[in-house]
Amino acid sequence: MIRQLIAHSLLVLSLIGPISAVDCAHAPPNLSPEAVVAFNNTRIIKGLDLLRDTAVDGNKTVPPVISEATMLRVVTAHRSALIVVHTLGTDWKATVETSLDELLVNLPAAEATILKPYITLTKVVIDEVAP
Amino acid sequence: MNQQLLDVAIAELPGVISWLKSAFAKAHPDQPQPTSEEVIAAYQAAYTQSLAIDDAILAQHRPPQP
Repeated sequence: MIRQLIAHSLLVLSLIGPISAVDCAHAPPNLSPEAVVAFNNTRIIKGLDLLRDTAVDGNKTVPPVISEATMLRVVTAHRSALIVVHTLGTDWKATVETSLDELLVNLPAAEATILKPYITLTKVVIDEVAP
Repeated sequence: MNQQLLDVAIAELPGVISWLKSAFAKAHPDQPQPTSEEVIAAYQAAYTQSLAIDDAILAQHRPPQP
């Protein structure tokens, strides 16, 4: 029980750090409108990368806490989200959030439980940069 | 299961530490701000690199051709 609490607390802490960093980071005032979009989209990429990297690392443990099938689903969804953000520049929020919701719904329950905090926090980042 | 969760969290910690350092580093008023070109270039690099990682993972796990 205590070990499980420590494990989950460490996972949450590993999420709060990057998200806190994102929340503290505002676009410098000297940037052009295009650069502000790039600045914010970089934050989205970093948030999505955290989700992807967690799934990949979870698949590498022995035994894996994230199955290969789930890891590949996450990577595929991550890749699609990157391309959508890059292609649209702005107005990608609904598309990316919908894809993240669909990803979560289609995962096995145990793995969805593990990845849900990461997906939720990625959406927090999205709301931060694209309210 | 708990050990694996700990392993995953520990694997993410270096990235967390670097992010925390950048988050709490106070910017001096005279510290030069990144230019628009630098920010756009950083975004392009982040996008390209992350996409390449995705492609590498998907290629690595692609089923062999019959």
